[in-house]
Amino acid sequence: MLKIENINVGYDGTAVLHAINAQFEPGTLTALVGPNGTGKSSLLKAMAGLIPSKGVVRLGDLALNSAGRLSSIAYMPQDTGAQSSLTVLEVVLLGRLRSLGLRVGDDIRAQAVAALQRFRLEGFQDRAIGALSGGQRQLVFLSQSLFRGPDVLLLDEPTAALDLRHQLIVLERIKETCRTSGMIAVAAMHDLTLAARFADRIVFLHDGQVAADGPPADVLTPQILEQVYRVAAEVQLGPSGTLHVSPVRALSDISAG
Amino acid sequence: MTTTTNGATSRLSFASRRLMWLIAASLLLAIATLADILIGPAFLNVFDVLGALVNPSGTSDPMVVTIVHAIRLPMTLMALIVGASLGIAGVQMQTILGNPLASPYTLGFSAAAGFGAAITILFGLQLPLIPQMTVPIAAFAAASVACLMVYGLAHIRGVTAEVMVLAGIATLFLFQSLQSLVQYLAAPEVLQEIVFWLFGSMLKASWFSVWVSGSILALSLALLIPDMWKLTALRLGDERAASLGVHVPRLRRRVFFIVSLLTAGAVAFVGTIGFVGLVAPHLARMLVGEDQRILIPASAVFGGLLMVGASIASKLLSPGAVVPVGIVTALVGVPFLFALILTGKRRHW
Repeated sequence: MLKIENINVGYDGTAVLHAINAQFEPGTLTALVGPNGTGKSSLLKAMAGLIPSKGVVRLGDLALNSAGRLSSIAYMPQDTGAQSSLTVLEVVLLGRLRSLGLRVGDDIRAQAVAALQRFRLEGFQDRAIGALSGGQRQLVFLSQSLFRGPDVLLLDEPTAALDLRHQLIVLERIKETCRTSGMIAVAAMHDLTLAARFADRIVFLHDGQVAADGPPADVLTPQILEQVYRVAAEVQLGPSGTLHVSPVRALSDISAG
Repeated sequence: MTTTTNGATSRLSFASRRLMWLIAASLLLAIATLADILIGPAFLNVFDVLGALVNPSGTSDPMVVTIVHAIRLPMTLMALIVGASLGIAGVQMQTILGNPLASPYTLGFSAAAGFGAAITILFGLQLPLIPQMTVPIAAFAAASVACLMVYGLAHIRGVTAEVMVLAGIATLFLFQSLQSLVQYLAAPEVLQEIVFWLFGSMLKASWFSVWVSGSILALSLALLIPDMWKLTALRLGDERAASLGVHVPRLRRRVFFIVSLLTAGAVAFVGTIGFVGLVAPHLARMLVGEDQRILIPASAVFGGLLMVGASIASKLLSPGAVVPVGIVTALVGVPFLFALILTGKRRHW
C-alpha cells in the first residue's frame, strides 16, 4: 500500500498543492485527473521525490525520504520528444542506472532485451530513440520504467499525443503489469473515458486539493465534473460496459475557472 | 546493419561496429602520430628519425636525437594531449549544456586564458624562479577566474543549461573585449608576440607541458569515469535524468569544473586552439553513438586526430617552417565534418 499524507507543494512562495491525502492499493491503476494547472504533475513529482515537498510518502510501513522515493518509485515524465541518438537498448538499460558499471553484464542486457520483448520492441533495440514515432517512444520509456522493477510507477500523461491504438496499448500494458506484479500505478490523465475504462480508481484534483476520490462509477458524475471542470457533461454507460464522458458546454469563461 | 528480431545477433553487430570505428580511428591516430614525428622543418632523414626514436644511443648524429627527443616528441605528444583534452571537454560541454554548438570556447575559458597570457606579455611580467612558466600560469589563472565567474552566476540563478550558456557567453565577450584592449594598447613587437600566442602553436610545447597537461587529462578522465552512465542519461533531458536518480545540478557542477580544468590545462601552454572541441565530439557521436563509455574515448581519439593532423598540415603548408597549428585546425577538420554530414545516416542531435 502506498499512502501520501498531507503533501504540500509550493513554487516561489505560492502554494500549489494543499494537504493532499490518498492511498493506493497494490496491483491497481489510479487515474489522477483535473483541469490544467491544478497540480497533477507537481503531485507526481513530489511523490517521486523530484521536487521539494512537505508531507509523508509511506510505502507499506516505511516512510520514504527523497532517496528512498527515487529507488522505490519510478516516474515517467510527459513525452516532450527526444532528439537523442541513444539507442533504444541504451535507453532501457538506463532504467537501472545505479547498477550499471563500465561493463554491462550479459544478464542485465538480456533482461533489458526481455523488457523490450514485452512490447514487441526488440527489433528496435539498435534504433535511435529520436528516430521513433511518439507511440513507439512512449512504449520504450514504459519499458525503461518497468525494467527498473519499481514498486510504484507514476506516469505523467502517458497517452498524451498518442494515436488511439497506442493509447490502448500503453494503458493495457500498464494495467497488465499492475495485475501480474502487484505494482501500484498512478497516471495523470486528461481523457476521462480512457480513465474510466482502465483505472481502478479516479482521484480528482481541483485547485490543489482532492475534490473526489473513488471508483470511476462513483466519481464520474455530472455534478463532480461541473464542480471540477466547470462544464456541463453527460456520462453514459457504453455498450461495452464502460463509462463515456461527453462534455456539452463550458459553464463560465476560462478566467473564472 | 539491419535490425533483427534476434537480439543477440543485432547487439553483437552494433557493438562490434562501434568498436570497429574506435579501433580504426585509433590506428589512424597512431599512424598520424608517427608521421608527425617524422615530418619537420629540419628535413631529417626518415630512417634517422626512426633510429633516434627506437635506439637513441645507437644513432650516430646527436643532433637528430636532440631534435627528435627535445622538440618533435614533446610537440607531437602535446598535440595529442591537447586534442584529446579539447575533444573530451567539448563532448562534456555539449552534454551538460544540451547544446550541439557548445565547446570549450562557449563559456569563455579560452578567451580568458588568452587575456591572461596577453596581459602578462604586455607588461613583461615574469615570476621569480620560474620565469618561463609565467604565461602558462597567468593563462591558467585567468581561465580559472572565468570558470568562477560563470559558476558564481549559475550558483545564484540556478545551475541550469540556459543560465550557464548565458553566463558563459557574457564571460566570453568580456574577455574577448579585454583581449582586444590589450592588443590595442600593445606596441607592435609586443602585439606580434601576443598574436602568436593567441594563434596556438605546438612550438611552445616542452616535456614539462606534456607532463602537466597529460596529468590533468588523466585526472579528468578518472573523475569522469564514475559518471559515464549519468552523463549518458542526461542526453534524455534533465527531467528524465532526474527521474532515473541523477542529481542533475550536482552532476552539471562537477563536470563543469572538470571541463574548466581540461580546457585551462590544454590552452595554458600552447595558446587558444579553436574548432577541435566543437567538432571532435560530433565526429565521434556520428560514428559511435552517445553511450559515454565509448563516446568519451572516441572524442579523445578524434580530438587527437584533428590536432595531430593539423600539426602535420602546419609543417607541410610552408616547407622549412611551422605555421601555428591553431590556424589550420579548421582547415583539416572541415573536410572531415562535411564528409560525415553528407554520408552519415545516424541521427545525432
